[in-house]
Parts: sequence; C-alpha cells; structure tokens
Amino acid sequence: MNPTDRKKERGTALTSSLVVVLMVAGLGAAMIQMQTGVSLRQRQSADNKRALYIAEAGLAESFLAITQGKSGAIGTATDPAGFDKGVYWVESTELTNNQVMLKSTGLCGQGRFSASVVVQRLANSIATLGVFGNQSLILKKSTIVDGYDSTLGSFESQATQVAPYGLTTQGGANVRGNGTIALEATSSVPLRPGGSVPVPTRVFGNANPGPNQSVIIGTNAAVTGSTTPAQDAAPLPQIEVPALPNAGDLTITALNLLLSMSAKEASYNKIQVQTGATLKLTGPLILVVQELNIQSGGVLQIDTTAGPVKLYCTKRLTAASNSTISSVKRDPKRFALLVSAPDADFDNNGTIDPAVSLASNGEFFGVFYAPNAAVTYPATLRAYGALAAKALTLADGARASFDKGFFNARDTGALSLPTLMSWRIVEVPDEPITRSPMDPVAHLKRLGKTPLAPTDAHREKFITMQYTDAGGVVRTYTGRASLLDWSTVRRVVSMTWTPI
Amino acid sequence: MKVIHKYRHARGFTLVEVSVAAVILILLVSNVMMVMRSTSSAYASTAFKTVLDEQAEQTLDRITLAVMSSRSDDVLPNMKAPSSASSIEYQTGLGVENGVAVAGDPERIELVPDTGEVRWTVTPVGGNSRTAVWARSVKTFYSKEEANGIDDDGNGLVDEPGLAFAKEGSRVSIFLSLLRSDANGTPYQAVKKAVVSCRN
Repeated sequence: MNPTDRKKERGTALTSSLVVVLMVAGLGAAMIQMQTGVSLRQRQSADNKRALYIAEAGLAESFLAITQGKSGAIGTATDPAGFDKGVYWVESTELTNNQVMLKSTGLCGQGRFSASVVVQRLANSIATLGVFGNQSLILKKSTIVDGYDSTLGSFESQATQVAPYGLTTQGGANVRGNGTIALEATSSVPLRPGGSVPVPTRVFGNANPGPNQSVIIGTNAAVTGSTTPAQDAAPLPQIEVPALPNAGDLTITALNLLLSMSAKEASYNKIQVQTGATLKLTGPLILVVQELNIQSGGVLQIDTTAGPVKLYCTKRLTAASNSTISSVKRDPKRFALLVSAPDADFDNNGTIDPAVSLASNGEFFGVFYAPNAAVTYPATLRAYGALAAKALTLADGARASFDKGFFNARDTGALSLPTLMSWRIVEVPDEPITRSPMDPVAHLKRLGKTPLAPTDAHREKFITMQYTDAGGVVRTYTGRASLLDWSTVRRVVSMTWTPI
Repeated sequence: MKVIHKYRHARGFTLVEVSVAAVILILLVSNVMMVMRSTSSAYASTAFKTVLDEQAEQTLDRITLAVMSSRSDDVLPNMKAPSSASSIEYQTGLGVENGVAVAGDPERIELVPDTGEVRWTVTPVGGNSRTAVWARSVKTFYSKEEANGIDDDGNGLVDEPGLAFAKEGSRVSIFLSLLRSDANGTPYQAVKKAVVSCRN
C-alpha cells in the first residue's frame, strides 16, 4: 500500500462525536443555568426570611435600650450592627405622648426587610393610673378633678378662675378604675335659705371605668371627656418595700420642733409626729416605716429640691384632722407615698380598721398609692399628682389635679416596661448598602468596615448617674456605663444616657 | 496512465462499511437521544415541582406577613385545634396617630372551594372591596387528610381543608396544600405549614 493512500484515509467520526458532545454539553449547561436560577430564587427567599428575623432582633435590642432610658437608636446605615450572618440598624423618632417610633432594617445575603414599631416609653406605672380606684371610685358631692402638666409650669400658671369651680384648667383629668365610677349628685338649689348653690361634681377630662363597667353620673354632675370603659383591666403592681436596717421607734415632739431626715435611707417601726412638731423629709431619701402617725397639729414636710423622696408605709398611716402635709418643691414627680398595708383589725375589736386614715390639711404633691386599702381622700388636703387605692373615695368637696408630666417622667417611683403599641412592615430605606447586590458583610468589608457589636452600636453609651454607694453616700458618675464598678452602687437615684 | 492512477487513488467506502457506520451512528444517536429525553423529563418534573413549591412558599409568605401585622384580638374566627377554618379575617396595624393605634380596613383571606383559589379581599369602610387571587390549585384537603373525622396526617387538626387556619392565643397556624398535574398528567403536591404570632 502506498503510504500516501493512508494519509488520505480520513474519517468524520471524531467530528461527529465532537458535535454530539458539544450538543449534550450545551444542553447540560442550559439546565445548570436554569437550576442555578431556581437555587438563587430559593436562596433569596430564605435570605428574606433571615432578614426579617434580623430586623426583629434589631427591634428587640432597641426595646431593651428604651427600657434603659435610651433613645432606642442602634447603629446607622453606614455603620450597622452585626447579627449572625447579617446586619441591622434601628432609627428612632420621638413622637408625642412619650411615644417613640423605631424602624429596624435587617439585611442578610440578598434579603432586605424593614419593620417599624411604636412604643409607649418607660412610664411610671403607678402614677399614670391617675385618680384610680381598683374596685370602685366614688366622687362625692362637689368633688372636682382636672389635670395639668408640671413640666410646663405650676398648676396656677395653667389654670383660670371658672365659676363656680374656682381655679381649674377645665381639662386633663385622668379618672380611671377597674370597677364602676360614681359621681354623686348635687343639688341645684341652695341647701339652706340664703346659702349658695353647691358646686356641681365635675371631672374635667376622661372618666374610664373597667371593662364592661360604667360611669354613674348623678344629677348636676358631669364628665366633660370620654366615659368609655377600658378594654382591659389595669394591673396594680405590688409595692416592693426595700429591706433596710430597722432603727426602732421615733417620736418627734414639740421640743424637737423640726426634725429633718436626710439620711438617704432609713427604716423605723413607728414614727409619731406630735402636736407642734414637724418632720421634714429631705431628698434623696428612702424611708420605710411600719406605722406613721401624724397627730393633730403635727406637720409632715416634703423637700424634694435635692432629690426624690419615697415614703413606704407597711402597716398603718394615720394623719389626724388638723395635721398638715406640705411640699417645699411643688413637683408631684419627685414624691411617692406608698402604703402596702391592707385594711385590718388593728385594735382587735372584731372590726376591720382602715390602713389609711387621712384627714390632713395642706397640699399633697406626689403619688399616693395604696393598692390594698380602701381610702377616703379628704377635701382639706389639696392633691396634685396621682391617687390610687383599692377603693378610693374623694370626700365632699375634694380637689385633685392629675399631673400629665408623669407620662414624660423618666425617674419617678415605680417604673414599668415600655409597651408595644403598633408593629408594621415598612419599605426598605434607599441606602447604598440596601441597593448593593452584594452580601452586606462583604459590602462593608469592601469599605474597610466590620459590623459593630450590638452593645457598641447604641447611640447613647455614656451615663450621668446619681447613686448611693454602700456607705449611703450620694455620688455622681459620668462616663461609660461599662467602665463603672457596679458593685459599689447600692441604689440608683437618677440616671441619664447621653451620646457623648 | 495518469487517469488510471487517478481512479486507483480515488478510493471510497464499501457498502458494508457504510452500513456498519450508519448502524453505529444510529445507535449512538439513539442512546444520546434517550439520555437527553430522560434527563429532560426528569428536569421537567423537577422544575414543575420546584415551581409549584415556590408558588406555595410565596403564597404562604404573603399570608404569614399579613397575619403578623394584625392584632391578635381582631383575627377571626377563633378556631382552636382540632378545629380549623378555611378563611381568616383581620385588620393590619398601620401605626399610631395622635397617640392611638390605627388599624387598616378589614381584610379577608379565604379558600374558594369551587375554584381552588386562595383569594384575598379588602373591604374599605364605605367603599368597594378589592380582590386578588394569591394562589390556584389548592387541594381539597391538606396533605394526606381525608374527610373521615380522623387526624390522618397527625398535625392536630381533623379534616382540615387545603388552606386551613387554627388560632391559639396570639399564635396562628397556617396550613397550605397545592395540587397540580403536569402535561403528562402526573400529580404533584406542595405542602407548607407556618406558625406566626400576631405582632399587634
């Protein structure tokens, strides 16, 4: 055979094979591409779910910040906080009525999600009860209840003379109860010849009874605001009395005249303020007493100029007729009189005696709270602030003005957790990190950044705090909360968070 | 002479060679076609099931987001396991205005048994209602459930429909089954379940 002939013996099998292989490879590549698209969609769906839960983690962190008194802002779009494989940041916007709107954006992989909540900020759970009767609330003849805001100034600066009620703001009352509310009728004619027409019983504001309860309004009485029953019963927190070393009994006689108590913390079995004597409580002060007895002619003076005063009464409170209660600084947010005692048979005669017997003259600026006792509040003691009892009766002609400043107060008496008012899904904000198709952590890495730890991402990192140390000395600290030796802090008097 | 040489070098294939080559080629092509067909068939069924699964997932996501935004007390009916309902009425939280929480217009998500559709309806107060279909091909009964008064699939519900809701407190359980047949008549089922808490 001629070698040349062999060279000419070329076949097409290889070419055909290559064509077939290319066809199959092409089909395979198309299938892979289609499957990759499906996988991407499934991964994005999973990423969106992760982003949702990361956004909710942001809201939880922000909620915690709110309970600590901070603004709730966590991180920013350019410096977000890290959580698991994603990042988040929370924007905080203050609203009216001590509410704050938090908007949290979570990013994970390809997922993006934003949710917004409105939170009723930390508020005094006792003081915001207003004029409150748990089982019943009775407003006797000619009782007048209105409201004002101590953060805007004194009551007198916000009220006007309105006949026949006298000085009143004509609004702002917060009258509530878990039972019925009753306003006693008054006569429309003088009770005796030549006398004046009785002042009608009035609530200048809202009177909201408990769920399925009602407001009973007598003749000539009126409520100017809403009388809609509450949807849910208001909880009455129990009083947590601090355990302090007991110093026995204390009697303040006229010889003492004025005894000023400013020991920061003190506890007694019985304190008796006799006729002609004055007991002055100077804040910051926490005073626990089993039995407080203010005799006729005795004076209890509250001075909250330098700090708040909390007075706990664990067994019995008696303020006789013609005794006096007065306040140096007329700010209801700084004084709390907390009576934890229930009504009981104190003299063992078989009848239940009231734990609270209040007949003083003067002015009461503060929160009065007796969740276990039936209280009759006298007309001789003008009230500014909040009154709450198991069963509350405002005696004939009593005057009470609710302080709306309690809704904005950060450091008054018992505190409660913030309340969630609304949750909704909102649009993801238009930011470079949300527009980027990259994983957010990779996006930050490209910019030379790493996500912040959640605790370091809070806007407010510094505190200015007034506290009592182990020795009872009042001290002030300013700086990072994490740098304070908290073991030296016995009790916090006041605390404010700041960004710098 | 040159012509003879020319013809001598112009060699071709014999009939036998061509026949054998043709047979081999046909065998190769048929094998390739069989592989391609089975692959395509497998891919088509996988893709069909994946699409069905995606649709079920998307529908469930829409329902869960709607329920999450609603107020627990406003979600009706209050059907507790083992009972369930094939529809749910709710109002979405829209935020706070003047210190008071505001809710949106009444909305309803329901299974239309005749058409097997998941239908969403919003009814503004004093206005015309709007409707959208979120899914089709909803199975009559959920997963392996049958109308026999027994919890066949062990999920705590009895005879629940292809779209079922059960509520306990602020938690709502949502069950969804889609059933669809491909071009060959082969039925495929996508079964989804979620439990969400009403955030408002």
